[in-house]
Amino acid sequence: METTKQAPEQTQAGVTQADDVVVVRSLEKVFRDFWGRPKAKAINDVSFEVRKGEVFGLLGPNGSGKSTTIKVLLGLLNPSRGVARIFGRSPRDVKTKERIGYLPEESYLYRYLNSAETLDFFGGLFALDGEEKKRRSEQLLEMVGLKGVQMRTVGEFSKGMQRRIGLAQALINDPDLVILDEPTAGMDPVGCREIKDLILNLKGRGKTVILSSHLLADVEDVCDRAVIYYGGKVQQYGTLEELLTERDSVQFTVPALSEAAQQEVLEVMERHVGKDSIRVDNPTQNLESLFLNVVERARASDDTSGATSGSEVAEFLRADEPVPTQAEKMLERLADKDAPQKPAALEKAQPEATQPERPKMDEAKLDTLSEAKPEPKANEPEPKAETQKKNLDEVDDKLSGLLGD
Amino acid sequence: MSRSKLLAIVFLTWKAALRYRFFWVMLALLALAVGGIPLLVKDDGSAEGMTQILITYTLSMITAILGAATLWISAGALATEIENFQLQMVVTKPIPRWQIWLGKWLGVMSMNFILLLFAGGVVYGMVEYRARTLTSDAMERLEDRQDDEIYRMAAMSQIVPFEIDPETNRPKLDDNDQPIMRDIQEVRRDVAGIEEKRLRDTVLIARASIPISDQIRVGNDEALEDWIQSLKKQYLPVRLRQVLRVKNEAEQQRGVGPDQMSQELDSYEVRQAEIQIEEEIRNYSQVIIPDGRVQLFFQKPKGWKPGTEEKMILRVYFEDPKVSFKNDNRYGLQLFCGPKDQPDLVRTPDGLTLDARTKHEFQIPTSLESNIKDGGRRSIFDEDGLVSVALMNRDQGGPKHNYRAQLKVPFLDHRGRVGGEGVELMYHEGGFGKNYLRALGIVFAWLGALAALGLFAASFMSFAMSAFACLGVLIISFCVGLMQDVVEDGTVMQTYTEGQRDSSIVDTYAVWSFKAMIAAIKPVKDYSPIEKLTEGRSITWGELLRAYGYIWGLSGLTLGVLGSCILSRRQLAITSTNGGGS
Repeated sequence: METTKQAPEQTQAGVTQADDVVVVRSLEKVFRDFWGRPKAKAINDVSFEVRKGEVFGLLGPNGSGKSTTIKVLLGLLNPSRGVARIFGRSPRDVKTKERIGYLPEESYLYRYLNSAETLDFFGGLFALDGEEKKRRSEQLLEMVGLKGVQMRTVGEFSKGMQRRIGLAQALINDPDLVILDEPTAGMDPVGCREIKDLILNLKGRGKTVILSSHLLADVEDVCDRAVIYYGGKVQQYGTLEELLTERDSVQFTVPALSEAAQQEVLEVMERHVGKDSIRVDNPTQNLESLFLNVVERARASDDTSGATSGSEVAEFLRADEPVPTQAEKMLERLADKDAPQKPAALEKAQPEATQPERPKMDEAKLDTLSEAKPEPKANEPEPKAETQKKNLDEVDDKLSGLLGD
Repeated sequence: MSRSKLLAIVFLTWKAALRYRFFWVMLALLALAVGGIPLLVKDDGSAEGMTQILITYTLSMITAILGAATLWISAGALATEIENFQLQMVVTKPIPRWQIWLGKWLGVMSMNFILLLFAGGVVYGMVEYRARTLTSDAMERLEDRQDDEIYRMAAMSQIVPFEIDPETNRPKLDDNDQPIMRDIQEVRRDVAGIEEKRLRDTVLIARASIPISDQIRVGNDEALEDWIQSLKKQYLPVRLRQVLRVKNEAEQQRGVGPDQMSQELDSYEVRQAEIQIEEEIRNYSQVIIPDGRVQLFFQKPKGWKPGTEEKMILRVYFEDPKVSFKNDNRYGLQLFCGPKDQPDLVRTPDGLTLDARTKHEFQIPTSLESNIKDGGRRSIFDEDGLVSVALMNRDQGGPKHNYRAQLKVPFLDHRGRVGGEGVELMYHEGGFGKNYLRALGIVFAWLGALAALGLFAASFMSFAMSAFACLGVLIISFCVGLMQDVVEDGTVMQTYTEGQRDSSIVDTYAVWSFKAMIAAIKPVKDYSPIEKLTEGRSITWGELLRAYGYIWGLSGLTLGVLGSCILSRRQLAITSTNGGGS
């Protein structure tokens, strides 16, 4: 990936870092009516930066200012106040745009062009030579599953197919920064999964991705850091781990245990946190995983006139090292006992991913684990069970005092 | 500037036109217009008349259809893409917005080029086909005619029926000293080709006008301006007395007493009388009384070097002021041509009679054999490059008019300036094909301006508004004459107080803005190729270049730069439908 050629600049809020791809400082956008009277403040005092190689999420409900921020970043809107820089340059700088891929929230493509012509046209705007343009177009059409319908015009496409061709055009220039505005809107679960895998793949190649979505699962699955918008303002900003981790509880996931073994484990646990604080149930497969399984089986037998499931990532976009899919990442985490605990929501293992050989339970190790008291970090809250016990003790003390015990 | 980026925009415009069938509809419309109109219009029965009508109507239709379509498609190509947010996708790619603007213009113009070439080609093919069928049709008609009749027809049509000795330039003689007749089939072909030849000599040709000098002599060989002033001086007091008398009569009818009647005219009335009488005298200067003459001088163009055998065309038009319609009366009119010192070097035969209200053409040699000058030839131009053309009224009355007619030769235009259609001297500048191409070139320049106008409007307005605004500009451009009247009068008011035309504060702005509009529109309208083409006049390369310089200079530099600047500054994520952003 290219690095920015301009020196990092001093901004209102401080000094930018060399690997900041996008810098937004005190951004404000006010929409006005014909007479110049303010109509709506779409974004208000927004500041954040996006670093090289990360997947950055813009999260918020509809109308919270995500798309407006993106449009300012793309030079489609002028900010009323504040600064936005991409690769150290103005968003309107033509040079900057050579390194950006953009998928808008709606299909703004030419309805009379077919998918091959669409990619040829956008490839032409990047001055790609004929051979290269053809090669990339073919690979991208293959990747987004539109190879079989490349002669149908975009106007005939379903919404999901339009998103797929939109995604393909956003990647025709092998961009360093990919801006995806609601990329999974209108996509079937297979397509959603493919897009998420693609985002991870792009990340694996050192590309920077900005993902705007109001679908929490999209952001949660792929983003490293995120801002949460509401009413045009940034409400929360940080890494997903910072935003999501519940540090006052612990979750173990183990292969199914015999009743006796379960009872044994519970007894050990009860000694430390009390019976009411422990919850035991079987993990359920989520609907996305179930759907993907069904489609995978059907694909083997039936033809379709619509979009097929996309094939592997286009060769020119592929990372040197294979980038693991989410399922593979999950398996890796499960297999690696030393891996740090991830937030519970991230650990919804897929059924096919949870089929390793059932390990033999090491009860001694379980005892050790249950006995081991985690060292609380200075800035971390106390574990939830600990806190609850402490609170109960305090209440008990107070009651004793009141009753004169 | 990246060519591939620009080409991508050009191809996109083409794709849209093809996929939405705009191009094919235009093609069909043009084919219908150029193919159908000749079936509907009426002509005067002559091949020249038919060809002139064919060229005038078809080219006018092509210009109108393509002009309207150009405005529509150019406004639509940009405005609808902005409204449908498609342009947002394009501007996020590394292409400057001015290149998008230029690409759209090139796309529309390349389409116009193909359509104009197609329609122009069809018209040219039709004209050529009609010209050629004149000869073949005549050949069929002459097939059954006797040889004697053919020779007689040839002689009457000034086709030499004898074989000519190239050395002596005289007919070859047989042993009996009788001229040897040419092969009858050859003569038959020549006779059959008379009509086509006349068409190619008068309409399907490119002839340039030789500029007329203002050294016009009228009356008793007086300079025109001196003659006008002397007559004015002589007749103004009489006219003023007439006007005062009429004024007093009007006052009397209103019941004004003799003591209160006007004794003199006010300044406005005097000025009006002066203007009127000068107009009348100028008008009268173009009338040649019996045995009177008018002499005009033409200046040889600097770049033109005529060959020894080259001939000029003298075109003459006159009217009988007593007859306000075209009839078959014939009037005696004699023409003289030559240098200043020998103005009658070439003359038409005595007793020549001509139709009034018809354009007559005479071939005038540029030089003549001479035994006076060394080198054996005498140029018809004098040392200053001037040639005199004199017209003498030789009318003696005729079977259908029993009076000696005065003949009006309108050598002044409607504003009283030299340059009317009465006398025109032309030379052969080139063939019809090239001239026709240059005419299409000027039409193409117009279309370029219209495309720029459409794109300019669409740069900051919605499609509906930009189409409406363009239509407004077109309507204004048809009102140039009205605006000129206002500018000449200096006011929009048409009322008078105490003999003076009223004025108002509105005039300051109206006259100024009308002046600006005339300055912008009139030169574009003045480059009209169609009239010239139908009259067989040449459209020079210089004129073509000037047309492009002005029309594209205006559209390209003004509308193009302004339009692409506006587009570059526009916030494309805000369309006219959702208000403006700060």
